[in-house]
Amino acid sequence: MAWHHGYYPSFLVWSGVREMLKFIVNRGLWAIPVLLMVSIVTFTAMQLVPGGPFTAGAGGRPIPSEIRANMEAKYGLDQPAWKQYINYMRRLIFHFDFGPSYRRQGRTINQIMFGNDFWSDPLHAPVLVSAQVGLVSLFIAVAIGIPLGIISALKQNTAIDYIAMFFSMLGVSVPNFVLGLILILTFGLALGLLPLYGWGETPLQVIMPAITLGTSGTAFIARLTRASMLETIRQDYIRTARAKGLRERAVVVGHAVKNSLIPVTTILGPLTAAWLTGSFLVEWVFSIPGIGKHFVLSISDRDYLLIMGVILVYAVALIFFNLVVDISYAFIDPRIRYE
Amino acid sequence: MSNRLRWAGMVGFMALLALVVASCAPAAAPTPERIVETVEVPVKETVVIEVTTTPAITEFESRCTYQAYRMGWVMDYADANNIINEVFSPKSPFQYTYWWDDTFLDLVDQALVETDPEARAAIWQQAEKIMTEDHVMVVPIYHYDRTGLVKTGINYEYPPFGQAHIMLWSFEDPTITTMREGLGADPPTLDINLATDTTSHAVLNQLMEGPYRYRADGSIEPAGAESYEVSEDGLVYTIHLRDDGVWSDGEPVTAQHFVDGITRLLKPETAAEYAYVMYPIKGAEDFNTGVTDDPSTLGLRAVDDLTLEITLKEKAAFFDSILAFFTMYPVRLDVIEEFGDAWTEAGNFVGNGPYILTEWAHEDHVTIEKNPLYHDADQVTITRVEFPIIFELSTMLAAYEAGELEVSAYPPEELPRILEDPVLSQEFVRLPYPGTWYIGLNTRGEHTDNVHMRRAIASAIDKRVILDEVLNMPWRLDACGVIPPEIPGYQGCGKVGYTFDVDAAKAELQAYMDEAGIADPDEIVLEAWFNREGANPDILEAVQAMLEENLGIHVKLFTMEWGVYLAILDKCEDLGR
Repeated sequence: MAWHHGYYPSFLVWSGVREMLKFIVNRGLWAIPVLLMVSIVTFTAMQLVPGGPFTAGAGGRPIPSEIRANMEAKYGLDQPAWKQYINYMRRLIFHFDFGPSYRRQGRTINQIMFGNDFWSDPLHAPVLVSAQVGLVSLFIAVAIGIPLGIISALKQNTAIDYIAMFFSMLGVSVPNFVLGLILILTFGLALGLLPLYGWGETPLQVIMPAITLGTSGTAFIARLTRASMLETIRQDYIRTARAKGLRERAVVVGHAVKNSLIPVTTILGPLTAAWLTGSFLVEWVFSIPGIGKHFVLSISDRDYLLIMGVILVYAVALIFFNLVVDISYAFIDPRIRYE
Repeated sequence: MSNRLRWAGMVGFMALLALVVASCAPAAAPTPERIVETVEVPVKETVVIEVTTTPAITEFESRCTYQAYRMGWVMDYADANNIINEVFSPKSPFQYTYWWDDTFLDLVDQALVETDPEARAAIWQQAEKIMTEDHVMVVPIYHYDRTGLVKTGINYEYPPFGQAHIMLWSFEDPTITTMREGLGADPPTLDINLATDTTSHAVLNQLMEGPYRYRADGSIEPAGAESYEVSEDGLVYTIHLRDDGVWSDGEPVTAQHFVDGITRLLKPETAAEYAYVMYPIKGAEDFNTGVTDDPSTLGLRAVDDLTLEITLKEKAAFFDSILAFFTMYPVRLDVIEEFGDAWTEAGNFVGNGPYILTEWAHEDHVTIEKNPLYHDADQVTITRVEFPIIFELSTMLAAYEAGELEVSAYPPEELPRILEDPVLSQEFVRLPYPGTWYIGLNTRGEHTDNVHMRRAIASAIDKRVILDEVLNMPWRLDACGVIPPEIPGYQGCGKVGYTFDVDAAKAELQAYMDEAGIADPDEIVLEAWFNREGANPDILEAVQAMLEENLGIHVKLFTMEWGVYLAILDKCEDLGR
């Protein structure tokens, strides 16, 4: 019975920690072949797309073949693909060097993703700028979405429920791009309350991007929480707890909520990874200097190594946050243990 | 235990997969042999290699099935050579029509050495007629212009080529000294020899100064130089630099810096995209293509600190205009050596222009400030220019309307509202920006290999409708020739090419059908390829509708992303030559 309250008897704590560590190490080792696979698939896909970084010049006109030959030789693109891949992986693994950018000549991928001086000014590193926007959006989505879902479920089929679900339907349907522009034109241009775009000057600049990004997530999380709650409160053990005479609040908070959070936690893994690595649309509309834009722009630029870099960052984020989610299961529902 | 085995097996499998897949990938990349072939042949003189092996032709015919393709060209300098020869020459890598005409090539050679501007313009006009009337391998649609928004109260000037020189701008209110201009992207590079796009040059133009600069009317005026002479035979240009030219770190500007700049541009290792513009210089092409690695073979010499001597390999009458082009910028090799790849960052960059690069926060903003050492610093009234980087044009327009920007671009769909708005319509800028948007025709394609078919296409497109109704830009000029209105040699509709004439089109189509033995225009299917960026889909759909309605033929549209588009056209060119 102690299990249901999430308390581990003290003699079992130690073995629980050891289990968790073994679990983490196991996952960490599995990350290696996964990342390798991601890098191979991405690299191959890039090679197969017609046109290279020097087919079309930055100036917008075709490049004569001799000039292109010079440019490709400069970056080793005239070598066979497998050689390029091995060189890339060697540089990455031994020196943490993601290589040079082909479109932004003179800059390296490390500089583009991590900023020119990461250790002295980490908060301005594009990777962390995206993370900041993502974190605030996540906070909004979770802080509003979960309570909204819970209340809707508890007050199912009342006015509150209908209103909440209407707005979440709206949130899921309105595209980020449209919402972002509407916010800019309303709160920025018409009302002059918030800065229109940009990052790093005032904390106010995070509000509209976070609302834009967070809205669809809020809506989604609210609906998911509600559905999960509705299912949980019909479970037998809830009825048992009520029958035992526990107060309604203890029933809800102690049991129903925790267990209904499992589906939400599951999607929070990939959601966090996606948001923390930057949303292209939000960063584009609000001119935020993060790495989100590069997920799309680097492809039309054919900036091969930037594509590889951001995708590997995203893969690492996915692996990491899925691991965090898996570990958190144990705290939410001790029935789930580390196998 | 079994888990570890599984893991080891997984990694081993991955490594094997990596080798297998990666070794298959080269099949998709261009084979090295083809590149070697083209390296041996200089760019302007690419000879049509006789393809005697049948498989190559078959591949061309089976894959390169376009009859029409869309392109545009913005002029670099004020001579028709830039478009008639550099773009449309049968030997040019920039056109995909597979046409050939010996008279045209002779005319080009004549024009290159003709120093009298009027006589030269007349030769270009003849060449243009051959292109657009005898061969009709190009159907010009409209000529470009430059549009944007600039707040009232600013005296601005835009040259027809390249970007503005903000040192020539001023506020009517002398107390305002800071200007804010929106940039649509982070400048890909500010390296003097590598920057090719408009965003980079919007900034670089203020930081650097070539021997000459373009004025609003397209003429060149002295900037870093005072004067120049050309030798009798037209081969040697002697440029006299001004004696008070100075770099932003205090070093005087010398002729050697210009020699260094052009040499670095031409070095193959630099891999500069615009190196080909300087190919008229003696030894330039060989040096750039690696035939020789000895820079002393270049026709560049610093006679003394203030005299630069450039020797051409043959007379090139348009070279005067190149003196104001950004390929003439000087360079400080010692600065580049000191800072390496970071030499273009704020604080490291050293330029000889009216502004200094004070801040460059990538993807965020660029800031430049007046260079107090500049030789005409007292004439520069705008002392600080901020370039916030705003990707989404709707956001940029909102910032402009909120009063946060003085200079801005606009999203095309907002154009009708801008033209009707009492304030914005006054701030709307409409200036010359010579260039031509055109449709090229494949002279080896099915149906379009017949000149009557091409004439029919040229006469069946109503360019006015495209400008007035599709683009909503009624002030733009429809094009019948490729030379833009601002360039000497411009002839205009009625004097060159074909105007919209449905009856003439039908007659030409009938002539083709008689020759080809086709009974019904319904049987003719044409493919039109274009890149999907911008308003191209709208324009091509209009063209398709016009051709189908006026001629009764069928037109299939194929669109693809810009990089893919060029890659496929280039591949066709490799196959078809």
